[in-house]
Parts: sequence; structure tokens; C-alpha cells
Amino acid sequence: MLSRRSAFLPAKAEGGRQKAAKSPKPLLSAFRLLLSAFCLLLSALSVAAEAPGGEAGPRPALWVDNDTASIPEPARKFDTLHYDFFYATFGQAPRSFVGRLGAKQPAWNVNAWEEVPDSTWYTNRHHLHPMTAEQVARGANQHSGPDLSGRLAVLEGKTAGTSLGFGRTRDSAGNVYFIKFDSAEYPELTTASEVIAARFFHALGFHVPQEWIIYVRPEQIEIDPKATIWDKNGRQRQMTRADVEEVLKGSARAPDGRYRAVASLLLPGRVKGGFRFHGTSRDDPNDLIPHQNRRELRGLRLLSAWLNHYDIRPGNTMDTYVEQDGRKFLRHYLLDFGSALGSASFFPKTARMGFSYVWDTREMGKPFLTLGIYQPRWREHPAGVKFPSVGRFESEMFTPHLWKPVLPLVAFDYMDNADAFWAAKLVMSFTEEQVRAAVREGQLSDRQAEEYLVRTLLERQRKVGWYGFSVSSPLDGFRLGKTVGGEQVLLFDDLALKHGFAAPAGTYYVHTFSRLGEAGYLGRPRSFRGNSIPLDELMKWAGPAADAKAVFTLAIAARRAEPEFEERWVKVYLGREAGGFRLMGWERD
Amino acid sequence: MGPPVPRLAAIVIAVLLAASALLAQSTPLSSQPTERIIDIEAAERAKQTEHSFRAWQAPLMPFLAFGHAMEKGFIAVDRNHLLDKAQYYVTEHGRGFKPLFGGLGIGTGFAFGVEYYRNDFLRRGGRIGIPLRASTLLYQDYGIDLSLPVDSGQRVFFDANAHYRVRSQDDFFGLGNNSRAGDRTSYMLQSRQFTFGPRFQLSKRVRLTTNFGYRSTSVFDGKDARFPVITARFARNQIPGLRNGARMWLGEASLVHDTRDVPGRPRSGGYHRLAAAWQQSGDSGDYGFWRYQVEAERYVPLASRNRVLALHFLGITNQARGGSSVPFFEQVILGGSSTLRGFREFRFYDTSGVMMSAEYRYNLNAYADMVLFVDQGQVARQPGDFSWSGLRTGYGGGLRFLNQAGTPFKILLGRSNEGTRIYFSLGGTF
Repeated sequence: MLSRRSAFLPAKAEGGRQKAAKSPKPLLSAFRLLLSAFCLLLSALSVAAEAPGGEAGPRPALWVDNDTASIPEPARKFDTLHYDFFYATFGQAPRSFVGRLGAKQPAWNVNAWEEVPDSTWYTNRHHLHPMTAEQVARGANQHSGPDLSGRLAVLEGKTAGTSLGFGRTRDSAGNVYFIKFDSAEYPELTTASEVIAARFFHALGFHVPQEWIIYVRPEQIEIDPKATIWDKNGRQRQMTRADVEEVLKGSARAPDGRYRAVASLLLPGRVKGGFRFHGTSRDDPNDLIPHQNRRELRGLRLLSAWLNHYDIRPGNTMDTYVEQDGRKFLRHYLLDFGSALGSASFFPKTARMGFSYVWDTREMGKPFLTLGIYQPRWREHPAGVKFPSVGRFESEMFTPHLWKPVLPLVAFDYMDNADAFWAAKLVMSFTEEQVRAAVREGQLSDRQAEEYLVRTLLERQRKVGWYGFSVSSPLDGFRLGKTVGGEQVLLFDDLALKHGFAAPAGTYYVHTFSRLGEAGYLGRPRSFRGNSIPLDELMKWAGPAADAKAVFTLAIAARRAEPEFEERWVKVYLGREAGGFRLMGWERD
Repeated sequence: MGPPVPRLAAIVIAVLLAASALLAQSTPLSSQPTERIIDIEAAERAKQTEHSFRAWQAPLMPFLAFGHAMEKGFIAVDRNHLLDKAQYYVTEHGRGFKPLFGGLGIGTGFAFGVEYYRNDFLRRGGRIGIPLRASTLLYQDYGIDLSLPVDSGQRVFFDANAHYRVRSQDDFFGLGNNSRAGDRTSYMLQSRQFTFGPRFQLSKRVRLTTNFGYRSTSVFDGKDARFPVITARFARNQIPGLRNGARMWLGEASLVHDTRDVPGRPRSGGYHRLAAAWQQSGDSGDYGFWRYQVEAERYVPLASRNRVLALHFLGITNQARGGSSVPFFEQVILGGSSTLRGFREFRFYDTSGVMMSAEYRYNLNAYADMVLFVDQGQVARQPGDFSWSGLRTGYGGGLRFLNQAGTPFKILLGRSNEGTRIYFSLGGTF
């Protein structure tokens, strides 16, 4: 038991943000102060209008954010990598700067239990409703895939020259798919990464297309008489058999003569273009939460980091105008995972990918200022390609929070510690069996390559988990229970212990109890071991006269022998009811 | 049958009921779920603010407009596959026309033109091209280039070229290492040249090139109105070739050994060239000389391929034969972005010259190298006249922008005792 109260308590009376364990460096603080002042100015100018910030106290107890009201059909948006590059790299620089400096609001779409409610953007799946390995492996797929008993009719070609595949292609059953092949130099690379990443992103809660690995014979492929193609000369013309042969010539062929491909089922609804990772869509009245303040998009940074989904950008997302229960609205998808894991579409990732943006001023600044003496480790000693079918995918140099996609994305820069915890929790929810099941969907012919991929994913998973659980309190899953003697207790999970990041022997917890909105503590702070807190004593401190509307804050933090884990607090909101407390939610500092 | 009025009323009521039912169906908003995780009114206000014009944005209007136009432009480019179209027109196919950009040297202004070409001309691997180039400063180059493989293995080629060139305003500061920067003048060269000869690819890394031909060069006053013309400052009889130009027979042989890993953006290896040339007046002019040239480039990785020391040496001497002289425009010329940075283009002229360059290049990212360099060089009448004290020094740094195969663009800042100069140049390894 600690004797000194001051060494014990969170900084704010109601369990507010805890001071960092290390004493701040004066220079750094002054620098941060200046930067913060600058940020505040910028925020006042540009971000201040983002009004609905979180107010103290429990958040709404909602599991569905109803953003499916009927809306007029929005216009089709078009996206271009070239503009995305300039806009994300230079146009969005001030906003990203603000995000990186920490002048950002907590995510808006977070419910009382620190979770993201279901919406047109996100559906809680595996981490809240555990899926079996088979369900993870099935992903979004709702049927057995393309009907390959007959012909595949190509309705339109993809842009020739760079893409090995076909645009809309109809199977014998009349369903329409997009077809993508592996390059001849790297068989299985693109298709495996596409399917495996799609399985994971589905289980993680995102909307993704239904995808299957298929094997087709050249003679199965026929061309619709109306099929057109943009050829490599930039001319749109009627597609010919030569175009099919051109695609197949550069594609990997299995020993039995068939071509391996990934088939993506056409998304339901009318395609409306990708979404951006900041702001709201003007023509979607349901879209009221600035995208940089959506937890699922902020947390997507760590999720993408785990899966090395480097090419995540507006061009690889899609909104579709769908009809459901008589209502018409937009649904938001992630697309095109061919550049996930070790793949960069048709070839392995280069050493830079995942460590640096295409044009990364900060990354360039260090060698610039040190006259090239400093070079990042990934550039000095780049990881090799161990298996052509896996590409460049490693876990040793991987650092979750330093991982970077192809372009800076504002929502990623706005990820805070609570978002990181949420994402890490999602990533850590996969067991090895489930990871194996998803990887098996990639149908890698080389067992060693498959094993390497599984191992690397598990190692990266540990790094993501460690990061997320160390920057925010890893206490979660709070619930009320009763002891055998009938005493009400608050139970919780310590995810750092559950996943083996910290040792139980060196861990104990502290808590304070207060009334929301009032200074000072009720009763005395306590330290304890184990994952339950008896509430009878707290009830006495709350007082018999407490009204039913009163909200109490139980702030809890873990203290561990492992120095990497700083003290982080989580506030649990409790309300009074007859004979005890009722759980109203919790909030992470 | 009932009276007509109640029947009409019944019809009206029925229609109204049907309409209201339809209306109820078509306006499902009333039955839509509305519970949101956010304060809807506040969020709608915030969204309205986000999408409305704010007073503080007024100074940013030009940037916003530029950004908007850029977005539309890029989308138009992508949707219409304009980059593919452009790529098609600048890439050679069997035969046709292609645009030309640059190619007239440093300080010639923005050059562009068109070339008619035909690949597999006469035989497989053969090529004929008719380039027509002009620049904004009226530099011009019109010609015909022919290259034919002699053997089926394409190791021996026969090359022939005929060109008419106009260099409208090259600079001349006088002869020698001690010419004064303040003596800058302008001259114009007009030349007609025909050369031919075999080229041997002796191995993957070694090639031997020979050329024979005739070149007629005339000298005129330069077109740069900012500076005096050459004849206003230098007497015609002081400067060889200034009075009547020169008409020369020529022959040249050069041996190149190239071990650079990627010739356009080398990180290791080297480039070595030995050349000897013979030129002799074809008319009454008293010009005849041998030219000997040694050039070496070495690229040394410094514990990493991300840090490279690039060294460049160039030595040239023109040895006049039997009391002849060397026209000033055939002499060694140092200065500018490729020979002696920190000085103007065409800064030093003389019959012999030496230039050394050391560059420290370090990688910033996949698309850019930072460069720090020191150049030293001097010109003299004879190699024996070179001295350490005569070396002119320039230093500086800059950025080299890279692509997969080469260095398409460089921005360098050079400084010397004659001031500071910025160089924008296309291509080149130094």
C-alpha cells in the first residue's frame, strides 16, 4: 500500500489526464508550447468549426449510428492518384501538421464502451462477436464464387500495359466480377495478398468486396462484342482477342496451363467514387462526422500497418449508393488489397514502402541535415524478398506507429492513443488459428512461404498490440458482477496481462473515486491486485443520499514492473440504482 | 347507383387516401432511424461551416482556386488517359514523328522540335531520324541521322550524320585562363557538318567509335543584345577563326569503357574514355591540329549505396601541327553546369584544359539525391603550362531528381570568385 497520496493520484480530481511519468524536458516543453500555440491558432481558424466535441461524462450508449437515412443520389466522384499525391503531400500538409502535433479532438463516433457503433462505414465483427476460423476465412463472401463451368465474358478491359486483368467480367451465372492476375515473375503474390488482406479487413469490421481465387483456362475467356478497352496509347477501342492474349502473356500460369486470378464481385449499388480521409462529403447528408474524427478511419492506420496495406488512399476506397429497407444511402468500402502484405501490386514492395511516403519531407530531412550520414535502417539494410509469392514483408524493422502508407492521410495523423488502443485490440483479437485460416485463403503453393507469412503476421501483431496497450490503458471490458457473498464488484480485463505483454506478479492497480463534475475524491484512493473491485465501500462513499441521476467516476490505472508501461488511466462511469451501481460506460485518457 | 355528388366525394377521398399513402411511401424520412452517436444539430452546423466560405480564407482564394483547377485538370487527364496518349507520342514506334525537348546544350533557352524517324530502316536494327530543333534563343539544329547494323549480331554499326546548326549567342570572354569576366561578348556560329564511320561494340562494356567527315563553320556577331558582339571587343586577327570561320576535314576515334551500374544514375562503377581526333583545313585556312582527350568518372559507395563519392576528370589538349592554329570555337571550353560550376557557360577558352570534379551525393529518397561538389579546372596553351595556382575553383550543392533510369533534372547552386550561379539542367550524370 502506498502511503503518499500525491505519488498515487491521477492529475485531475476526477481522474483526468495523468502526467507523464518522466519529467518533461524544458526545451522540448517550450517548443511544444510554441507549436501548440500555433496549432491553437490554426485550429481556431480552420478546425474550430468542428463543434461537437466530447463533453465530460459517459458517451451515448449506442451500438448503431443511424446514418442510413434516404438521401438524394450523390454525383459520381472521380479520383486520380496524381492529384491525390499533390493534395495529400502538399495541400493537406497544414492539417496533417496539426494532427501530428496533437491539436486534435478525440474521435466523435465512440460510444459509452469506447467502441465504434455500426454504421455505413463500419460493422463490429470479430473483436466483439468472435468469429470462428472458418468465418474469418470466408470473409465477406456470401457464395462459392464465380461459376466457372462455362465461359467468362469480358465486358471491358482494364487499362492495358500496367494492369494484368480485366474490368467487368461476367461468369456463367450472370454475376459480374473484376479479374486480376499475378505477374509471371511473381506468381501468387498479388492474388494471395488481395484475398488474405480482404479477409482480415472484413473481420476487422470494414466493408470489402467479395473475392475468390480462381483458376481459368485461356479458352474460357471470351470477349463481349461491346467490350472496349483503353489501350496503352490512350485510345478507347473495341477489345480484341489480342488484348486478352497480351494480358495473359504477362500473367503467371500454373503448371496445368490455367491462369490464377482473383475475382472481385461487383459491389452492390451504384458506384460513386472513393471517400477522402478528412472532412465530410458535401452531397451526403448522412455524413456528419469529419472523416479525420472517425475512430475506424484513425485506427485504420494501425490496422493497415499490421497488414502492410501500403496503398490505402482515396483511390482505393469506394462509396456505393445502395438501397436497403426502402432507404437509399451511401455505403463505404475499402478496395484493392493487391498492395498489402509483401506485394506492391505486381511486384514485391520496395524497401521504402511502409516506411516512407512517396514524397516524405520529414524522412528526407534527416539525411539532408546530417549530410547523408544518417540514413534510416530500412534504406541502409533493406529487408530481402524471402519468398517471391510473399514479397517483401518483415517484422523486425516494423514499428507500428512509424508505419506509413503511400500518401499522408489526415485521419491517420489524427490517430490518438485511444484510437491506437482500439485498433490494437482489434488486431490482437485474432488467434493464431484464425490468422492461419485467413492466410490459407491465399492458397500459396509453397508451404514454407505460407508459414513465413503466418509467423510474420503474428510477430507484427505482437508489435501492434504492444504499442496500442502501452500508449493507452489496456484495461477494458468493464462489467458488473457479484461475489459469492452477493457483493457487487466491477470486473475488467487487463489486455496487457491477457496477451502476455506484462507479468501478473509485477502488476497492481490503483483507483480513485469521485463524483463527476466535482473536485476532490470521495473516500480514499486504493491499490489492489486482481481484476475486480468491490463496490460496497464505494457505495458508502457515494452516500445514501445520492440521487439516481448522479454520475460517479472510478478512475483506474495499472502499475507494472515493466518500465515500458507508463501509468495510464481509464475512467469508468457509474450511476446509482437500487442496491448498487449501474455501469454507464468508460473513457480512456 | 347513388347520387353523383357523394360518388364524386368518394372518388376524391379515395384519391386523397391513395395519394397520402403514396406520399408516405415516397417520404420515408419520417420513418427513418435518426439516433446518431453525435449531436446532429451541432454536427450539421459544423458541416455547414466546413463547406461554406469563411472570411479568413479570402487570402487563400488563389491557392484554393488553383487547387480546384488542378483537381479538375488531373481528373481530366486521368479520365481521358492523356498521359498514355502523351507517352504514345513521345515513344518511338515503327515510324512516325515524335516531339523533341532540349538537346541543344546549356544556356540555349527552351528547345523543342520534332523528329521524323523510321526504325528497322533498310534492315533490322537500322534507324533513320530527321530531327528539327529550335530554341527560344534561336539556337537551331536540323539534320539527318542514320545508323545501320553491319552484322546480324548488331555489334558493328555504320553511322552517318549530316547537320546544319546555328548557335545564335554563345559567350566569349577572351582566350586563356586569365580572361576577364567583364569582357563578355557574344558570337554566333553557323555550321554544316557531315560525318560517317563505323562503331564497334567490342563487349558489353567496351565500344570503339570512329568518325570521318567535313565541317564548315562560319562566325558572326552574336544576337545577345545585352553584351557587345565579339568583334567589338576582340580584333579579328587576334582570335583564330574569328575572321572567316573554318572549313575542316576531320577524323576521330574514341574508346569507351563503361562499368557504371545504372548509366543514368550511377552508384558504382566508372566511365572511361580515350579519344584522339585529327582536323585539317579543307580550304585556304591555316588550321590543323590533333586533339587528345582523356575522361574518367568513378563512383565510389561510401559504406552504403546511399552515399556515393563521384569523381570526374577531364583532360583535353589540342596540338597544332606545323605552325597551324586552332580555331577558338574548336578549343577547350570550360565553365558552366557540366564542366566548371560556379562560373558562366563558355567562361574559359584555350587550346588545352583540365577539369576535376568531386561530388558527394547522398540519397534523400527514391526520387532525389542531395549533392555537394567542388570543381577545379584551368585552361592553358600547353599541358606544361598547367599549374596548381592556376586552377579556378567552384563549389556548391543542389538536388538531383531521379527516376528509374536516370537523372532527368538537376538544380544546382554553384559559387566561385566570380559570383553565385543557379543551374537548371536536364539529364547528365555530372
